[in-house]
Amino acid sequence: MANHVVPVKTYLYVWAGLMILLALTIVFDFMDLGWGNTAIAFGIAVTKALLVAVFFMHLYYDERLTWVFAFAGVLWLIILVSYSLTDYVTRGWWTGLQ
Amino acid sequence: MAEARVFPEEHFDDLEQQFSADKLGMWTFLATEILFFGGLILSYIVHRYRSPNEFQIASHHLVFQLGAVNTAVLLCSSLTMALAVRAAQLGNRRTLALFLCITMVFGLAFLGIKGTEYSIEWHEGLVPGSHFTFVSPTPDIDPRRVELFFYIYFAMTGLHAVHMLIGLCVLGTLTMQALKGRYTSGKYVAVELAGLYWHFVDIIWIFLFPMLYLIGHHKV
Repeated sequence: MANHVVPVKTYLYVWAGLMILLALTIVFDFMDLGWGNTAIAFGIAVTKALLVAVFFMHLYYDERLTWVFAFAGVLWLIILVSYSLTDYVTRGWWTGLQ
Repeated sequence: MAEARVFPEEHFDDLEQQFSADKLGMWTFLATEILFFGGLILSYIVHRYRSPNEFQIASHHLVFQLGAVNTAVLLCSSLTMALAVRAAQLGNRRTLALFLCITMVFGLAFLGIKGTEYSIEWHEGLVPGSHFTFVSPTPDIDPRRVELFFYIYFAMTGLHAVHMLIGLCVLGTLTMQALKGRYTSGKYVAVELAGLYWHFVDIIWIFLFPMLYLIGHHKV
């Protein structure tokens, strides 16, 4: 069985990074940055998710095909959200034939 | 102690291919789970886009400190889960059981804190339905849209909590099997796959926390 045993240190570094990112999320939450608050919070969340997926879920050590499967799930979510938003965001853009 | 030799199933060439296929199967399931939550995520995006002020006010009624603690709890649980899988890879039966138990403790802590939050929300009249009571601070805030936020909040965190419960049951079963010596460094795929599921549930919460608790910003 493919046995890429990850050193404990790697896991601890990743965990430390995750906790630091969580602390950053809180720090930024106390600042008034308008839409920047949302953008930063989302950006940090994506980074945290990537850290968990790549290291804790072993993607870093897996074959490329596993990456494809992991990405595919996200791809379908992107399609769901973006295609649906083409409706909601464009409501009222066109008053059409009277 | 010498371990029994592990053989792949008939339709696989070797153990490595079988393990790889097992993981791909789990990732496929996780893709369906992403879309399971995806529907609720879409609902959140659309309604936040349409009612930004109501969503911000509603979000500020949540106790974001508890949400943050819960996020930390789950991040720690992912660490211990990863260490559990590592123990299984090395054939350390006791360490595996220990880390599985610690992960379960973190999971139970998360559910306990969540339950406390739900209780707070119930007493503040923020649970949607006949007991929902919310007084608009200004006339332009529609209480029905605030209630909509809470529908989405309870649906998302409720679904997430159900996933946590299932995860806890899986971990409990794994712990019992581990203590019986069922997992060896040659055959620990169940632990690996359970780990993938647990990390996924953590990732969902990593997004839920800023989405629900951190709309706008909080004053110091």
